Amino acid sequence: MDDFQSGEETAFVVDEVSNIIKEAVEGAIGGNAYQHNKVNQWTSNVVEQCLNQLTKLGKPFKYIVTCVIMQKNGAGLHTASSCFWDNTTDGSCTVRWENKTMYCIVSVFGLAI
Amino acid sequence: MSLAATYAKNVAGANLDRNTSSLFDLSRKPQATGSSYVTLSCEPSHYGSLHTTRKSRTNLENSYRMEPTKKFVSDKIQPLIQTVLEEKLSHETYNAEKCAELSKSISQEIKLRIKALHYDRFKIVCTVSIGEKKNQDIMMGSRCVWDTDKDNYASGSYANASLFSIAVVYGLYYE
Repeated sequence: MDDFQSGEETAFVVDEVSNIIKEAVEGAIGGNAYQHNKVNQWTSNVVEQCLNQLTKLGKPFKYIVTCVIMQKNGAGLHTASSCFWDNTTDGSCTVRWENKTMYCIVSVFGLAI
Repeated sequence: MSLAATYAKNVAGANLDRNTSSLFDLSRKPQATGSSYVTLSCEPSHYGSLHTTRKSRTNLENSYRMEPTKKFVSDKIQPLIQTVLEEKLSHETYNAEKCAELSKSISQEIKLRIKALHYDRFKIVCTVSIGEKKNQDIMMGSRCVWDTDKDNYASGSYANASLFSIAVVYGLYYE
């Protein structure tokens, strides 16, 4: 089994990932108002777009992408995550996006193989 | 020698911070892009890049094992998640500060209970969301790029009159 090159190429780069997420969210739901019948499609689009871009990075990582879209109603939402992993190689990134009618929270967890 | 000592101290400090601070430490100001605000929040360990280069990965010896000894079966984990959610939330009403703390403690609790089950060589990611019930609509979706034979997930939910809660646990095998 070949050894992967350790260092920057196989690290979880948060900035890169956050840009990918922002672009995916903007592309899928930017400029749209909340619509109940479209939410399912939007969540799938955001997640799939994120995953496609992440896999294109070509890094030896397994990815978990979670997307929550919530209608803006004055209600509160709290999300927490607890992970048992290798701190030196694995990482996560969460981006919170909102417009006038909805919130979208996308979390990406990257775990090195 | 001294450089290594400084590095070790930084990493140890970062580890401490990781244990105590919250997931939503805002590291950048919100920017308005047209009609949307994007705020970035990420794990505290990456904030400020305390160490610019990552520690090189320790090379482990071959175990010659292709499959995990104990598979991550979602049917066994699901009752555990359900129990923890019911235990912690059955007598609670939605309160912003309390639920912020509760979500962190519940995710920690679920992770610890799964660790106690000794799923060797599995990395665990546990996410918990607690929301207020106010007749709003919410949609939660998740996709993963992983090994479909060995990796799996389990989820549970709980709701009472004032709040709802969703917990998802992912188990990924580390080859």
